[in-house]
Amino acid sequence: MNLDQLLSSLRQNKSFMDCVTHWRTLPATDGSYADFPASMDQRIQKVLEKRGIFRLYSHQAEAFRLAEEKKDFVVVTPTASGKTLCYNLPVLSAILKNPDARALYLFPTKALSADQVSGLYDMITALDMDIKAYTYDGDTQAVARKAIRQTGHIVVTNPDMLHANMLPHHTKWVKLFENLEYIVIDEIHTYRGVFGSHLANVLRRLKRLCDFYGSHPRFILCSATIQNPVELAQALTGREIAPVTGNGAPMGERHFIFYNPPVVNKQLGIRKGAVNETLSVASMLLRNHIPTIVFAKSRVQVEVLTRRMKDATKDAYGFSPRVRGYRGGYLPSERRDIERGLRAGEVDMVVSTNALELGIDIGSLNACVLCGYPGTIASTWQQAGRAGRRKDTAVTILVATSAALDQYVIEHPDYFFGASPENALVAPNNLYILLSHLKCSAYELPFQDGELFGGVADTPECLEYLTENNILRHLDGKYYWMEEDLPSGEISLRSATSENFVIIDITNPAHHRVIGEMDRFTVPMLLHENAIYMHEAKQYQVEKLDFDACKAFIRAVDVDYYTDADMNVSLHILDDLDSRATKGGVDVTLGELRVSTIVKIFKKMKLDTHENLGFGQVMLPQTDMHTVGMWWTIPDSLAARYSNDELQGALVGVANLLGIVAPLYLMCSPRDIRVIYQVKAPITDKPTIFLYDSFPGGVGLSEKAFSMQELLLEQALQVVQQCGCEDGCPGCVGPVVEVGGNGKKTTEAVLKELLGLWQDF
Amino acid sequence: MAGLLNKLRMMDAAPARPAPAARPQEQRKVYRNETFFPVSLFSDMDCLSPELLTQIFGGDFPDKVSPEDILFFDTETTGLSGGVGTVAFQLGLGYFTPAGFVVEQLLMHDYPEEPEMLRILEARFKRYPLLCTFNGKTFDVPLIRTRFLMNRMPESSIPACHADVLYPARRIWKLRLKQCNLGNLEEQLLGVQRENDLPGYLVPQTYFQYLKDGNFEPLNGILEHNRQDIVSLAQLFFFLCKQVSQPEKIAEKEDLLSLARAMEKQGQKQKAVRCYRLCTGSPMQGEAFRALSVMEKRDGNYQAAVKLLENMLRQGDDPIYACEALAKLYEHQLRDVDRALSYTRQALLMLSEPTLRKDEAVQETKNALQYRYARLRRKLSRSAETP
Repeated sequence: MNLDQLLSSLRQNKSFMDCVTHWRTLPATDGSYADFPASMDQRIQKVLEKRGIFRLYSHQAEAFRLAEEKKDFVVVTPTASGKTLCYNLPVLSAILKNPDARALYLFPTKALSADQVSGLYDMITALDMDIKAYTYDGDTQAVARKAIRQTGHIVVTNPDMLHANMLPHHTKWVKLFENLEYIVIDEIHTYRGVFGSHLANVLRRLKRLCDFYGSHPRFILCSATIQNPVELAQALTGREIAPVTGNGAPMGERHFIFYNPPVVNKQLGIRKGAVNETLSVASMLLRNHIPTIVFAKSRVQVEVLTRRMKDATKDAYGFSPRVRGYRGGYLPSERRDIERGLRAGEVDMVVSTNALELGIDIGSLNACVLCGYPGTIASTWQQAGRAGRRKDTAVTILVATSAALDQYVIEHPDYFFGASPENALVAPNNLYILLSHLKCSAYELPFQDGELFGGVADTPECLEYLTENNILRHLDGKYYWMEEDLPSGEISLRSATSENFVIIDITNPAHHRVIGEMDRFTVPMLLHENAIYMHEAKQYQVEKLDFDACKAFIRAVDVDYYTDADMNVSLHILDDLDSRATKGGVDVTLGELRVSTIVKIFKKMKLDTHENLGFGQVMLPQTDMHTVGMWWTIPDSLAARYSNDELQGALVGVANLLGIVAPLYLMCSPRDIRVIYQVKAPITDKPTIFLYDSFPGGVGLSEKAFSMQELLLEQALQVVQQCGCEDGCPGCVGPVVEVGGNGKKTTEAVLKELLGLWQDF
Repeated sequence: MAGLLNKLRMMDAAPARPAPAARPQEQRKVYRNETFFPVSLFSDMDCLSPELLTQIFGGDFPDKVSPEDILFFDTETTGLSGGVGTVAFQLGLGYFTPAGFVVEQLLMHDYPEEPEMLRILEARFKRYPLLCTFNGKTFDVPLIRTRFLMNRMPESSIPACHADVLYPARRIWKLRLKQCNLGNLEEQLLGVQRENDLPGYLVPQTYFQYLKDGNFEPLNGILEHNRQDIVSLAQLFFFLCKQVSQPEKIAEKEDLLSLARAMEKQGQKQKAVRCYRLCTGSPMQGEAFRALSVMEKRDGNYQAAVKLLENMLRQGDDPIYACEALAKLYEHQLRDVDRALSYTRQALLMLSEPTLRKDEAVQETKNALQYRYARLRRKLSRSAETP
């Protein structure tokens, strides 16, 4: 069957349709085109014509026009809309006009930069001009580096290389920085939270050096569809940014199917495993030879799915070349080979982690199966966009897991298909991050009195602080670097503080291997000694936690319990920043918090029944974190209407619900924020629910949550009202054992009161 | 709202150290001193010639070079990372004047003096066509180039010709001395013994401490260290020149062999042959003859190559290699299959010695020889068939 036939037969298939919560058909759209701009170089036009391109999509032409007007802009279009031309055309034009002109391309991943450079090469080769484009990353050989610095017109790299290798050695890149005309940043929606806040500061440093070298580069940015692309682009670049929206590329008909595996345990709200369901959906596509990509959430899942799919399609010799796995850990050559196989049609099915999510061109696929919700709407569309890059029909099937986030999305198609509610947030002025980059920038070029770093008014005070600490020397109106080492070495763009713990698997004594890292604030919860730590669905026990050396040693085990650390959180309000009231007249406050956590004991819980099997002691010091948070203070008048137990159950429920809903709207991972309650908060002396950023200094999540707190409460109420469970489940207020018998009802009641919806008391 | 500074301080795990107030420097001029040394410290200065410098350092040199044209140069820096935030706070310059060899030292009392110091350096650079350093190509010169750039000064004053002693020193002395840092070279080759020398890794901290407390005394250690570096550098430079210009006077045969190899690598064939020949009669002879035979063969002097290899064989210098090389020569160049076969057989015989260690390399040689042996046998029987 072809895809159209298969889809109509699926509609008749009752057992399949029983699991489908939503089937959305997006009609095919015609393209919207524009003639080649008159000002575009004839040589470029000829190259495009040779490839069968005789007009531009409207958004490509718009981008070219804005570039001509010397504007900074962000292109917001979906996958497969030809957005690379949006930046390659202006950049190549600029270089043809001025052979000294330079451009810097930033991509978040290596695979992506390799792919973009190969596309760029093709254009340049066709142009037959002496234009050099190079990738500059960790894989670049030392001998090649010199040539890149001297002669590279277009240098393709990632933020980490820019931060740690290029900026601290900028005098080796004089040619680039003196002649920099364009800075191209693709996939900016991936630069959110800590990573984005770092990037914004790296760009502040870059702009400062460009000033020094007398260049004034313009920014061309690209983003997937999110609610605030312009705001994000402005926060990252510190410039006014014009948006290019309105996708001019034609699209084939696309089907989006939400598939929820059947319930197997109603009480606990547990469904059939997503991996097995994914397998059966994918096998059906493979049997019909429909080119398909399957996205799994972890490397292990990729391996499991690949092996099972390969087993199902073995030929007489035991080979199954039509199914390939693809994940981050593969060698570059293997990856290139798979990419080629896909483009050439020799491969029918690829099972991948999100390594393939970002715009790598892999040719024409018609179907996409997602094993679990990818975490954000933007990611989901990007993964879905891998299918149907050409004009024919495409289908995406989202197979939900039992996780609360998945269940929310699969039951709320409007959340998914409506205007994107996702906000990519960055906080470039997070003190920890700001200070780290201020150091780097001071290393790269001494600050002068009165100079502001990225326009930050607090710059003088920060410089003063660094001077007090003997890192800088303030003399004759300048701040000089006064340390031996390079500051960028110890700053990782992927975490807020430099103190990350490495997790070392010592199961095989001959081969200890690092399997992950964790920030120091989460370590006491999950990596205390004797904790059962889950990594890629495998159980490990923590044997030793070396707190000073920042190392946790774990060993694989097979036990029937999990551990749950009892974290004692005490919150201290440092500063109120803003406050308002909910419709129900409850005070909501935004402020700075000191979060002190100490873990003293942990519980051992039986896996299936959650019975308490006993306790263990944890001997770890208290950790303090300064962050930003918001809190709802429940007035006595409201609290008085419930018994103590009821109230506590409701607080648990509301906190649980907010923990589910907030990440959806803040476009962050559930562990990026924490929601806790206190029955009698020492500060307010009243029952209080706190939501705070789990990053030192905060990355803007709580501010946003504060501004949309009513929406969050409404969504929480909706979840609890629509959940099919009886007295609570992990997908809404939490299991009955936590909220108590009446928990679900009182949670709903309290939420209504907060929202001013409670009528009959 | 707590003040930002308080917030910053709260972030610290440990309380901030109280910083001594920045002490305004009274001196507003770059520190400068000159030390004179007698020219007699340096020997064989007359051997200098552009050809010799090309032999040693590669590249082109001015038509006429005299010792007065050379600027010996070394820096002391605030770090070794090589990034743009590293500053050369002290510069050591050595040059010959009618009054003797002068070491001129510049030191900035504080950061604002850097431009002035670099201007003095620029003036010195312009006076000398040839720069001589130890590891300056990778360290000092790129650093100075960065400093010029950061201070918006042209880098064109940096002498175009640069003799970096580290690379030839490594090529010539590594075999015998292993460690080729300036300290070891001066001790082993020049017999210099330093007393109370400041270890290099303490230099940045010593300078930062001075910036904080203004006590100049510890800096004298740095200046002394740097002064000795410059003198050693100049001595080493002339010592190197002498060795290369008069290989006959080299006592250490390992150095001769290394020199010969270095000359061969630089394309200085004549000098290389001369040095290899000088190894005759020493433990280095085998290596030297082997290299020579390869050179002769490459030049088409097959008989000369044969002689060298036969000599190796007689002396027992790497006889298996010699046999194999002879077999190759006889088979391909001299077209004497009989002899080729005989040398191959000889090599195989030697390889079957029970005392020989049986590792992979030996096995590989053996396989190659057996393959050669079989081929030669075929050739021989074929030529016997054809009348």
